[in-house]
Amino acid sequence: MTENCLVRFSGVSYTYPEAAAPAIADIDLKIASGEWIAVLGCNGSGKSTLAKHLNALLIPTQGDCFVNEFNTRGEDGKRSARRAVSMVFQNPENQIIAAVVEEDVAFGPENLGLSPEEIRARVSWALDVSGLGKMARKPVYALSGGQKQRLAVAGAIAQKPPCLVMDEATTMLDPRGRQDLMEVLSTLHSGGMTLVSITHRLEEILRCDRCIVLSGGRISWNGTPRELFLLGEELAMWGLEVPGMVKVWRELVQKGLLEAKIPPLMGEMVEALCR
Amino acid sequence: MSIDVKGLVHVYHPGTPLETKALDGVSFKAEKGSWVAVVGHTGSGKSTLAQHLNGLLLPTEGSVSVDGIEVRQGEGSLRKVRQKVGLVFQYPEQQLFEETVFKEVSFGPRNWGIPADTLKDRVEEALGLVGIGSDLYEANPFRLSGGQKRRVAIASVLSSGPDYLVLDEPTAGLDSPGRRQLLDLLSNLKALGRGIIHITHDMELALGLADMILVLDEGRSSLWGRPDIILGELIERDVRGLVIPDMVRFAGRLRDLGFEVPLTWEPPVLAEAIYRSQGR
Repeated sequence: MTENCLVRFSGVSYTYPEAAAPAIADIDLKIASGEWIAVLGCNGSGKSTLAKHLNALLIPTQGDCFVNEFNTRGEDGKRSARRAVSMVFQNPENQIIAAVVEEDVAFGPENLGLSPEEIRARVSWALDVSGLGKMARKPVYALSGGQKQRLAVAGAIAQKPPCLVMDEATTMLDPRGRQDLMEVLSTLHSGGMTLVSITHRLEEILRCDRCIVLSGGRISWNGTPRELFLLGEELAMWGLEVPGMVKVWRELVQKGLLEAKIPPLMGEMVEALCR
Repeated sequence: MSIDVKGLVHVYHPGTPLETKALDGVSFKAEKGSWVAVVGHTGSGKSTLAQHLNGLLLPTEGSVSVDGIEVRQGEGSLRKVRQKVGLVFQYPEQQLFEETVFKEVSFGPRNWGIPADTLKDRVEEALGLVGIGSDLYEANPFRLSGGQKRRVAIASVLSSGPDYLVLDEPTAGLDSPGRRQLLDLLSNLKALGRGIIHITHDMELALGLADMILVLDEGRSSLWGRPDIILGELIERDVRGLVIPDMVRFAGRLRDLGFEVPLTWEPPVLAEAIYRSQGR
């Protein structure tokens, strides 16, 4: 287990300078290599603070955070964390730096000092995975909001990090843009990348392996998405909105018409009901 | 009392190589005390339409009138219309600029020339409606939470006393409690007789809350009607860029397979219908 453990939090608390209370407190968490984990909670629950520890943007004020077993307090640890974990934030405009799509994606690999062939190979891989293969030569301003966010993802993965953190990365997208981005994440997950999705939208966690719920800076719950969906009052208490489809699924499970092992997805549910 | 839009056409940059027809013959009616949702893909003309409702844009063809006053240049029409129709843009908190919540919300009515003694009542009423208490009147608006900022921004439109409120994606970026609070506020305003025109991508919200839905597709009114009446057609037509809630598509698929279930966006209703249909 320790071998493929990518990130390990041990009693991590973080208090912002001059803040009265910690933003996160006593966090113990392990993220295995290749896992897709969702971090859920309402605004102010500490999700983004937790995420910023993953690539050493923040260092715990108490406890320790290890990435690849390096403590992020040390210089080696910081370097290891920044190489291992790439982040994509809410607003793609803030993370795009070049004027042309492929140049933007090349920025990360160029900084790693790779050969021109390797850079070209990575850029074309990252653009293909992100569904922007045909847009390599397009100016960035010609992209839609959803395409810009996928460009931000392409830029982040072109460095081939073992782990990608999406911090509320779908917030500014329309429903179609959100679905497209979820497809990109699924592809990356099947390719073995570790994914951390920070969100308050339950419909985005259907394909995750595991989720944790933060509330008041602490981990209140830890389990699989399906276990989470079966909870009742707690979800509202944590400020999580339950999608209509999941509500129907829950009622059908409770009425004994569906087995809880059937996921709350349309295809699977229709098939199970027709049996 | 209503906003009446008839055959509205809007052409940007007419007579230039950049000429684009953003709206092409849009008609609908938004009554006071009702909730109209305007849905459509990005670029379908939703925001252009919103700007016509209080005269920020003027029709190239067709007409817009508010309580019988036609939106056009001259005879003080625009001033009257802008007092009746408040426009809340996307991410309205980005437009906050005053030092305190109270000053922020006073800005609109002061500009309308509301005398100082009634100004205070107006501001307090608006802040009361959005659930911001007097403890926050002197707070710096930039220090509030995201949900509070958004409600202050809406209060600063409400304080001018509009009869209609046009909101562009008012719930975007809010978490679930913030979203719930905002939707309750809008329902409350509707109950108080205001007209709500809600521009959104979110079909689940539109179906659940609106009295009437206008579907825009490439600048045309593609559908207009009560949610329960247009739903079937909405699914059939598969309007570009509109995501039908999974639950509704699920109900549709079950119907195709012979289940006797209604097309509904209410989970308990659907679950119960499936239960009964399976029992047979």
